Amino acid sequence: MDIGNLIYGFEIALSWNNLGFCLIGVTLGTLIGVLPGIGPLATFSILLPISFYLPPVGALILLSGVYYGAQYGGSITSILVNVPGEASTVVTCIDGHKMALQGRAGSALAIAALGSLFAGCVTTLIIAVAGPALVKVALMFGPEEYVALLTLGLLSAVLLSGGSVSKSLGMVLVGIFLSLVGIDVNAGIDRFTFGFLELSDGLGFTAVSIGMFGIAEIARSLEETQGRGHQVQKFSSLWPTREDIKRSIAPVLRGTALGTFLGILPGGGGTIASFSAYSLERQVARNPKEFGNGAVEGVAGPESANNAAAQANFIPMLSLGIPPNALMALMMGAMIMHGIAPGPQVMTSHPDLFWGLIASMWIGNLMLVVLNLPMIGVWVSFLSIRYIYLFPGILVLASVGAFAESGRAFDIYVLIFFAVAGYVLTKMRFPIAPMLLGLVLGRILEEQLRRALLLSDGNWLTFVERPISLAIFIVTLLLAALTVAPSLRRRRTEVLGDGDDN
Amino acid sequence: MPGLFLIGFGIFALVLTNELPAGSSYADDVALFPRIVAVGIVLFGLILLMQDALRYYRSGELDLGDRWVLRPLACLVAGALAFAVLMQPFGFVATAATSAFVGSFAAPFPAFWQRVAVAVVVSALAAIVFIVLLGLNFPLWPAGI
Repeated sequence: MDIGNLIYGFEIALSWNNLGFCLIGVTLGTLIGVLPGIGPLATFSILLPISFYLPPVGALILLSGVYYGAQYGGSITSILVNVPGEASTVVTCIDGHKMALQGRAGSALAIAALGSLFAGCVTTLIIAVAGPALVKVALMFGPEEYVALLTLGLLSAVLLSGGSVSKSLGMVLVGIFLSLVGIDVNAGIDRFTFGFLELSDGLGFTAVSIGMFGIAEIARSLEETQGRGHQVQKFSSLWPTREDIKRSIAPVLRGTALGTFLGILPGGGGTIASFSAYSLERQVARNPKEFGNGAVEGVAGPESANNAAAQANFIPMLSLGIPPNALMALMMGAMIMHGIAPGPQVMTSHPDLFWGLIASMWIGNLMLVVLNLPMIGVWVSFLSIRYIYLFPGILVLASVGAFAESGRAFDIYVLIFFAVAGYVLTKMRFPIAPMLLGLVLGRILEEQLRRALLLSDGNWLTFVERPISLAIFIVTLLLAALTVAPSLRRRRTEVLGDGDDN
Repeated sequence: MPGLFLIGFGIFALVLTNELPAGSSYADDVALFPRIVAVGIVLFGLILLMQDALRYYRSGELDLGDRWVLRPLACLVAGALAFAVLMQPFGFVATAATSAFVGSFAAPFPAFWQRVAVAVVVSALAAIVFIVLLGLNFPLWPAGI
């Protein structure tokens, strides 16, 4: 690890402006983790156009703060209300809420926050080490390797997320097709614009994501909750007992290692990491019967794992330019909006962004512990806010977001179209997140595919003739074969659910 | 249903790609990649259709999707539409308030005055955040004021 670069990153992240963006990001993240009816995907899409008005480094520090802040906020609702704020904190409900019912809510909250802090700090270090190493490898890649890597990224993101594989893959392809709308830069020909001049630049990425995740999500939340608030479990002391701390050390270490490993893999994210950490803890426990009845290991392991994975997700995005999930795809969208081409060159062309962002994660994690422990009472009071008072504001925020990008009403019409489409698709139980990945990566995939074919004189075998690309394709095929294997399919359904995890 | 949707979308996409000019080399062949994608969509549609047919054959269950509740979506869409239509002539404050008010009908509020209060608060906060703090270049008041 290059200490000099990390120190440079801290100089960037510790500037007053960036500290402010980091604080706003983690506060917003905790807030959306706590508040019902709005998740990080919706918040990201709504904030995306607004972040355009901020300096690029500040915008990305803010957005990443929202991302890992939401993991912290999500655990508060899981423990105190038995309602997971995020998919990745579902498993925390099992033992975290049981601890709350036994009067140990404070201990559960503290262990979750401290475990997440440890995981966050370790993973930040790993990003600083692994990121540049991966960049060196990625710089050797040609178009063939990129096609292989993008295929692996898209496929594994689908295979490792919940829901029907056929539906998810179908949605990835729909997303890729939609990404092709607009002028083809090589040939200068309009594609699928139906004569709308406004579509020449392509479908407004923000309008599509706000429509699908923002508006459609509010509609679904209102259907499910009718805008009610939550009943909160009371608690007194926030300091964990010595026994709880002792029992949490090993699970935190195991959760951090597992979460980091799963977070680096394309498709791996907080959800799969927290479920895997929970089942690992249950397997290694001396008394597995305690699980489900308030075992502190069932909070410490998964909470560390989901935070580690959330941060490790940045490794493939920052070093290879390949987002492992929809949230990172939106993050990549933010970089593109700021004129930064994502990929291995970011580390050298924008070192302030790369190292500043990494250092800000360290600072952000520290801020989150301060926000989450001494100020827990403030967040608890937010839990009782009724959603009906919030969603009109979110609607206005979403409309401003779509309108602000170009100042055209047309983008709001695009938003409306995709809000309806998103709603209809969810009702048909199609997952939406894979479509967003396709939308972000589609154009890049086409560009690299055409470049590879041009350089090889139309030889389709070029993708398997180069060793790295062949190896990546073999891994992709193995992963696909493993996923359809009956025993693993059962396990996947058990861990990730058969429902539609957007 | 989901299978039919994908097949329909894929066929529509294929028709659209057929209207694109064929290029002389891979650099300007704008139809190649979209055509591959469109065929893939149809293929996954067929797989889904087969899976559904098998499920129906085994258990008699038909995948018709979840129940639709139109009121929330319709009101939210109306709120966003109000924003698009009113922004130019009426300015940000009135537009944000109207959008929030119309959108609020997506949920049952205990009292009418609460809808009005929420709309006023949202409009004021949005004006402070977007116009004053972020400096977005939107007209605050109706043209002519």
